[in-house]
Amino acid sequence: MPAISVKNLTRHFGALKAVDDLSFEVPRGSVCGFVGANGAGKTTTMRILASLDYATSGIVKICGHNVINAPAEVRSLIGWMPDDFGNYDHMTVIEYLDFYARALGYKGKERQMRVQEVMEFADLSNLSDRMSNKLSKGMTQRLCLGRSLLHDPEVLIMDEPAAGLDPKSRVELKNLIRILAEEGKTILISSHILSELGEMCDSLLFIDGGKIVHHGDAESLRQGLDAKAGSYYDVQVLGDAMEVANWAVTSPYVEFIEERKRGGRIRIESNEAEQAAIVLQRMIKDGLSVTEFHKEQRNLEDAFIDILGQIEGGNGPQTTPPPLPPQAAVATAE
Amino acid sequence: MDFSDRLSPMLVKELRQGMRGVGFVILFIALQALLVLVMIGFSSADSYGNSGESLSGTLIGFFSIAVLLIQPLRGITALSSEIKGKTIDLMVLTKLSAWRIVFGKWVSLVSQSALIFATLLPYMIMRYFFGGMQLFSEISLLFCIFFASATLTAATVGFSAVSSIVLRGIVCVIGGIFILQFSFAGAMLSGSGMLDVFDFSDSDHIYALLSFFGVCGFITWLSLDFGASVIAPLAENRSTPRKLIGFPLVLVASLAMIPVDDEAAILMAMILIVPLAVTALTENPHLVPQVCLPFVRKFGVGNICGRVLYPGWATGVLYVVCLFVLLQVINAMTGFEGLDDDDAHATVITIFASLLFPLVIYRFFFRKSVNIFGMYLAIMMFTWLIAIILYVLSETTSQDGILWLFCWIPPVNMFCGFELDDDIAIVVGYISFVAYALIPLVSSKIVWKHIRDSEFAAKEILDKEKSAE
Repeated sequence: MPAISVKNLTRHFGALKAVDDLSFEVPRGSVCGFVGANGAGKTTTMRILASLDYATSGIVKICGHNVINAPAEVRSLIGWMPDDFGNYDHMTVIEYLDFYARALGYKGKERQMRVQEVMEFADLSNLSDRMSNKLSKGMTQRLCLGRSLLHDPEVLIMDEPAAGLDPKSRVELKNLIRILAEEGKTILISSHILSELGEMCDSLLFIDGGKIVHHGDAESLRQGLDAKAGSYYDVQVLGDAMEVANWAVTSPYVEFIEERKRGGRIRIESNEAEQAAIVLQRMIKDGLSVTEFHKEQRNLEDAFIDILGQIEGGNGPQTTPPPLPPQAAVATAE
Repeated sequence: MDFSDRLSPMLVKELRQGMRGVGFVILFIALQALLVLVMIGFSSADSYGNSGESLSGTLIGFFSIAVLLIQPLRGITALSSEIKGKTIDLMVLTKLSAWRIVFGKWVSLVSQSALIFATLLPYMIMRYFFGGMQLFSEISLLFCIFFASATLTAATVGFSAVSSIVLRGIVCVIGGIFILQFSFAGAMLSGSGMLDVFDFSDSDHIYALLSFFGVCGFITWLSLDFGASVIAPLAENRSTPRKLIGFPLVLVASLAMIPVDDEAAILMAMILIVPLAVTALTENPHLVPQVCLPFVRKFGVGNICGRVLYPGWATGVLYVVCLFVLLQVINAMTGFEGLDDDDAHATVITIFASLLFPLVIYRFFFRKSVNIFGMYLAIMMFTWLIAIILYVLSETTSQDGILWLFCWIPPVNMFCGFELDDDIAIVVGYISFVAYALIPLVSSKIVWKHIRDSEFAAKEILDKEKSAE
């Protein structure tokens, strides 16, 4: 029996279809990344999974329990970590956890032990007397994670847990999630930081416009099962970084992907090394002072954009180079 | 097991927060300082004379402002802050039911009011030495004020679930003005014979006070239940029990008043019916199969009862019609004396029509608005405003036609009944009541279809359960 089972889930808000006929399963003990642009329907789906919202139609089950018909059972099985939650005034970290432990039915010493365990796990022990509304974003997220683990749930639903965190807090949170995954918990996690999801998740679920556009593991996605052919190169030049973008606009078989500090990232529409050599020669011939030119692995962002592009236009990625500066535009026209 | 384990988690949390909050600390210290100053002022007077009664009035006045105005106002953000901070979702996911969340918040505020009440007692003992004290009456009055405070706090806590800040603000301002007037009146009570009401020596007084406690209890329960129903998940059906309790409550309370006065019985019924009807007419119509299960188990009878008792404004219309029938039964039990007066008859039928009228407007013009309760209250306030303006206009111009022209707006029809012709107002009242009940019922085909679909899904669940057995 899968930990999470979603069949034909649809959720309408008036005329808006926030979730449109979504079906997927997450096996027990696996970590599933939930990826999508803002407004794609991630949070709505996760709220329905957490029994906080209802489906217009479709069936959602957590460990075999229907979220509508058996909400109490579902709630005892899930830990919910929302993307944004308010803190309480005049309440310390330990009191905050103590309140939720009481609300979950723990009493006396069992409650104290549970709170202590969670505080140790989330590294909150030294913050126990701090006011919960005076914590940094990273500490708040650790507190939120601690709260969601109080009743030792089988399934964790985490909506953008890394949003707004500094790199150090992000690494700390990632480590905690990794430990939970090793303990065998089923985790559904949404994030915009795809590279991190790729490292943590057994499978990735891409959603757009309320529909699933891809469901598979990170490696298959990186290999580009559905993606356009081509290889990615990091190009660095002396002088203006925009020169790479301007050059790419006028060059056949080359697509500018993103600007970087001393150049940019390009895609060459071939996997052949000869083609890359020709492109490099042409760059130098066209006057670019290339200081670095090396192949990069196709990352998850590329895969995601490719998938979106295929859906929107059917003609590959929708990435467009930045607008040309006036001089370059004139030169191109000439 | 700790002592705190015996208390509701919500109460523990709210007390922890509330006792540290600036609101309570400032109120508590300021009240104590004021009471000390008052005592010093009265003690230093040359002759005590009638100062005992004045002192009582002052003490009661300050106490009233603290517990009837400030403490209830602290409840106006009780649930909205949780909803806004998204902490309500986190609480709903625990073992706390929506009722326990709201009840805990209310008990916490009432406990703080009780603390204020307790600190007043030493001053009342000192006041005894100033003479002229009606011990039993004054303590009864303080208890009544405390009881009223608990009711008002319940009303603000329940109302705090409404998302509209504007509506909450309007209620605060109107309620605040009303309470301030009450507090100042309370301050003057001891000098008048009104304090005799609280000595329980007269059977009329006992009836009046019992009615007061009864109505306070009812409003407290209904307000808290309203707040709970707003934050409760859909599967937690709070509507059906509320509707079910409503019938016997109205009947028993009204029958208890018949020995006092027939019209008082109708008045009592209307006091209870109006809030019951408002809550029933402003419910979210979304049903989940789980809610239908107990009804579907009873087959045909259950389905018929469901049309009145399911949550949602559409079933609420039928519920209001049932309440109207119940009122007629109560009237019959009074030997038709309760609505014998035409003015009263016109008023009662117009109140029923005016309860349905905002729903009709909502269905026609604002059906996309998610906040049914807020919209309903706004429309109701607006129609009353229009009625008052038209009444003033007709009075100043002496043109009765203005009122008759707009008699289809129920509050305007009420003025027609008061000022013009009772009989016509009664007929218009009945016509508008029937029309305003039919319009939402006819225009709610989608809602009825949704109810049938939910019942069908519930039947499927039942069939699966049976086959599993």
